[in-house]
Amino acid sequence: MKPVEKLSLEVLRVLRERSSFQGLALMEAVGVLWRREVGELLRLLEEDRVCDAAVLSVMMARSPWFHKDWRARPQEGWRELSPLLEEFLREGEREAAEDLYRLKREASWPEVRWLQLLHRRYGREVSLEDLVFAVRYLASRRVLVERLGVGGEREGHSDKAEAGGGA
Amino acid sequence: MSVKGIRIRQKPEVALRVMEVLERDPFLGKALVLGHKVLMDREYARFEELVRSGRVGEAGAFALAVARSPYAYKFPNREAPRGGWKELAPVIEALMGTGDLKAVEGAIRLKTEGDEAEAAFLLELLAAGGDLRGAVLALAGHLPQDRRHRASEVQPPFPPYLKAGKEVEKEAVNG
Repeated sequence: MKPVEKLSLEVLRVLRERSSFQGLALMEAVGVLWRREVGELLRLLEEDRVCDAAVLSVMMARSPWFHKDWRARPQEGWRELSPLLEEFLREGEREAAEDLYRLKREASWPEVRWLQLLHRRYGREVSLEDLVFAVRYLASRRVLVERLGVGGEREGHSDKAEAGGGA
Repeated sequence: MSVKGIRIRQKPEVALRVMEVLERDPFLGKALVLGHKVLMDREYARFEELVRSGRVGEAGAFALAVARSPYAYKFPNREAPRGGWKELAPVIEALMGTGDLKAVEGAIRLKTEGDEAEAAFLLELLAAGGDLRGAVLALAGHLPQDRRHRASEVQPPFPPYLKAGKEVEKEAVNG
C-alpha cells in the first residue's frame, strides 16, 4: 500500500470518529504533498499524535517550501470520479450517486484524490458503506469545505503536476 | 407557502409525439415541452390538436408565442427548488437500472437545474413508457443553450389564483 493510501484510510478513520476538522486538515495533504512529507504525517499518526499531524499537514500544504501536486478542476468535471459513480450505479445507491455527481462538478483536487484512493481500497479496508459515508460527508459540507479553503491552489507546485502527470 | 409538487397532464400520446420530435430537433422539442407544461385550457386544446395531427412546427411556434404573450394567461414555469426536483427520483432509479452513466448524470443534472416543464415531461414520459434515456440525453444536452437564450422563460400574466405566478397551483386543473 502506498503511504498516501494509508493516509487516506487514516483520514476516513478520523472523520468517522467525528473529528471533522482534524480530518479535513489531514485531507489537505492527500494528493498534494509528496511521499516524504506524507511519511512524516504517517509517523506522527502512528504515534497517535493525530492533532499534531493535522496541524503539520495544513502548515506544509500552505507553505511554499514544499513541492506539491495540484490540479485545477476541469471544465466538464472530474473524470477521475466516474469509476466510483459507476460503482454506485451498480449498487443502486441513488442518493449517493446524486451527491457524487455534485462533487464531480464542485470538488477540489484533494477531495477527489481522497475519494479515488478510497475507491482503490474498496473491497479490502473500505466497505461500500464507508464510500457512501465519505461522499455524503463531503457533499453535505460544501460551504464549510470551500470557505475553509480545503484544496485551494497553493504555492510550490511541481512542474510535473502542470504537465498533467503527478500524484 | 409551500411549493406544490409537479402535476402531469396525463396525455401519453402527446408526450410520445413530443418525444419523437425531441430526439431530432432540440429547439422545437423544448418549445413543445414548454407548451405542454404552461398552456392553459383553451390554448392547450389547440396545441394538442396540432401535435396530434402532426403539425409540430406550428404547435411549437404557437407554444412559444403564447408563452411570450402579454395577453394570454398561462401556468408558470418554475425553477428547480433548492434540493432539486424530488419527484424525479423514480426517473433516476429507472435509468440506474440500465447502468448508463451518461444518462444518469444527465438525469441528476436535470433534477438540480432543470425547470418544471422538463421535469414534468420526464415524469409524463415515465408514465407513458417512452424512451426515457433519449429524452434525458436530449434535454440535458440542450440545457446550457436553452438557459443562455432564456428560451423557456414565461411572461406574465398568470391567473390571479396562482399568487404572483410563483407559488401554489391550487385549483388549477392541468388539462
